[in-house]
Amino acid sequence: MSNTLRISFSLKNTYRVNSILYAIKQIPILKKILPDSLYRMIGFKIAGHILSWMWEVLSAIFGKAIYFGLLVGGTFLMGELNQASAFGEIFMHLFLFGTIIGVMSNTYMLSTHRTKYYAIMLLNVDARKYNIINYVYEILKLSICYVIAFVVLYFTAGIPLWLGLLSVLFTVGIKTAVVGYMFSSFEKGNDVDGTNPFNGFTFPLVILSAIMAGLFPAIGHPFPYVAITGVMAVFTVLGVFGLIKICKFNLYREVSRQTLLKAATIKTDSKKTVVTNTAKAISADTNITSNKKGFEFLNELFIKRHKKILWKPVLIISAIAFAIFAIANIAVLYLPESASEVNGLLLNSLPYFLFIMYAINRGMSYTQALFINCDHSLLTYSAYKKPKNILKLFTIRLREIVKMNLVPAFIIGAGLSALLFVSGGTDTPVNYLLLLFTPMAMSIFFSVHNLTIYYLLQPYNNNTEVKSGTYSIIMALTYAVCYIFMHIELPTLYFGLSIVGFSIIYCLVACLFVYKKAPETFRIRA
Amino acid sequence: MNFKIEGLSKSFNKKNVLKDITFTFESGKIYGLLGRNGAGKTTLFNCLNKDMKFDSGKVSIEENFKERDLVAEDIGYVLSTPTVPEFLTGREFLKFFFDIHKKNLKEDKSIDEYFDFMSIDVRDRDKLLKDYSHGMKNKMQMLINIIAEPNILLLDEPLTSLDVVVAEEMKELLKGIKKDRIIIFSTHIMDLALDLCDEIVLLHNGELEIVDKENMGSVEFKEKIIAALKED
Repeated sequence: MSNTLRISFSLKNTYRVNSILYAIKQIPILKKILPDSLYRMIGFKIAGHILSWMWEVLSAIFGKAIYFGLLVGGTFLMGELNQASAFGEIFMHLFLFGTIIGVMSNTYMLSTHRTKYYAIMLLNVDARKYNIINYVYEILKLSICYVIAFVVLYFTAGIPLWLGLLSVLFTVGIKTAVVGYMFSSFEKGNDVDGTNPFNGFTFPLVILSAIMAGLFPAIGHPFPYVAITGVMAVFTVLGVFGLIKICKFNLYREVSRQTLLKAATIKTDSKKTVVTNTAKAISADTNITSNKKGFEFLNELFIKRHKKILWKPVLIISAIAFAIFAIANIAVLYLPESASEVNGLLLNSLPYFLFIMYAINRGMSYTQALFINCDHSLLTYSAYKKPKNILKLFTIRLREIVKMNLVPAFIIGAGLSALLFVSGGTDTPVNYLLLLFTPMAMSIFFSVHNLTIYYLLQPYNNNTEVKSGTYSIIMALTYAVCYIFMHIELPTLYFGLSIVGFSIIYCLVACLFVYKKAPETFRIRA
Repeated sequence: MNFKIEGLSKSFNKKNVLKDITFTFESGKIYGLLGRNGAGKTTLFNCLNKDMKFDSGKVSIEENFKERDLVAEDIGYVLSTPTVPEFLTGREFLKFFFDIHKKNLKEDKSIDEYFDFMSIDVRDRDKLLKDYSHGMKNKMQMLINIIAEPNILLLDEPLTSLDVVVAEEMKELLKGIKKDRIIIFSTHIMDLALDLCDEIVLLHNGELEIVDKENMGSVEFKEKIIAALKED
């Protein structure tokens, strides 16, 4: 057993250390400085190991601390709704159902971590020993944290110590019982899943537990200690049966294989799904044709044959935006008391729309479809890569994506202007124009932004995986900036004018860059 | 026409994959590029096709005793896995290439004549490329690369995944179009190289080395190549 434990830890550690080093090597500047031999440099290895162990300890402590923190928060919330019940009772009630929900999402036994795949499937480590030793380790980690938490709760909230200890036994018991149930089910020929132990019943059970958790304390009837003790005792006893099953069970290799392979298929599938879905999105309608020539011909056929993933979402977003603004306008007309508040929001909350325009922008989906279904193949033909042709196609594509994004942007802009009018108008009429044009400027900005970084960084490799760290960083930064703006209030007049100005300058600079650099950068990454 | 590589080097981190390669390819010949796995055949092709920047060196074309830089149109690159835009039909793909190559096309053939030349069935010509078989996609890829009549045709393991009939058709086709151009054909399969190629070039330890053709096809010749590739 101790050897299996050692192998298991050493694998997990190596995996983590190498993942940390790999992540460091993806950072653009460091990538060039750090050598490939990084993975065998003792200094880096030791630092990686320290980080890895810190992660092991801190994730255990913080994970449980957050869980108990949420339970305490929930208890206070329930306490406000229902002043009659004591803290301890509400807390234990929430803990009971929290644990039941927890066991539905993770039993600890059939984890599908990659290191387990390496150990059991590739290195042929004894599956029985591997599963049991890791299960015992996880259960011990949990028990230690829980004992500490309940000792703290005994001193601070007066929850009886015996109940705390029973809670630990209950948690271990219920997890073990569910594992026993899953193993029996597997012996009967069913597929099992450690994160979904009751298949179709898991989700309804989680919902039911959540309702039970919230409802009883809210109406002033959390389970009394005696009932909680009873339920916990039953599951603790069931845990003993579970333990017997775990010891007697002899299909560890088979069950590990089934769960690991299933998880592996799901993971690769999610990667492949984007590619397959994009490939599937090509319309087979034989009536689609084009009378144009050259690149306009290529573009027209691309747009027409990808209507499903390009224009359909645009029309749906536009329809939703139209409906929302129609309802908002009518609501303000019928509820005049809300008018001044809405008016104030419109004149100060335009930055919020930066995030909305970011979220509804179709640029990412467009460039993804372009790469997977078009550029991925055509970039291997030299005529396609001539600078003149790259720029011609860039201009055509920019026109298309701007067109797509402008439709919902116009509806939102017009909706905002109309809302300003019905909510009492403004002393500065230019605000009407700004509310109309700012979302449109933002939409043009995001269109240019997405297409420009696609042309300048062309982040995909032959397998359509994102290979550019810089691309990922820019995408994350774009998201972060838009998210921050959501929380900033600025007068529409200044914000609108600066956004329109910024968009114009950005578009000019970006296009200039593309015209200068794209013939070199728009390549398949080797 | 000659295709000249002078002092071409490419390294990844500290590993020198291509070491100061100097070589001249002559037109009218099919060159078989042999090398072990990881020897750098695809890297060499990527550098020549300008998909990858090389660290140093120069590639140029020598025509009528005048030297000029290599431009994109000089090269056709056929990958082992055929890549064709799946949202177009075979006919549309050809039309698109006709449109953008209008000025360079030397032969006045119609789209259907090209399809006939490539033995692509009439029923398949108006189907979306996504519904083409692997072999048909490969033929389309080859056809597009031939239409443009590039001076140099790079073929990366192009016949390995084709069925025997299509592979034979492709071999004949390559022999038919080699006049006035240079075909460089990378492969792992020695028999294929010996059967099709006029010259055998080894890519080994980052260097290109031509093999003396004497007794090409004999057992000794094969042993000589294997011994050369094994050397460190």
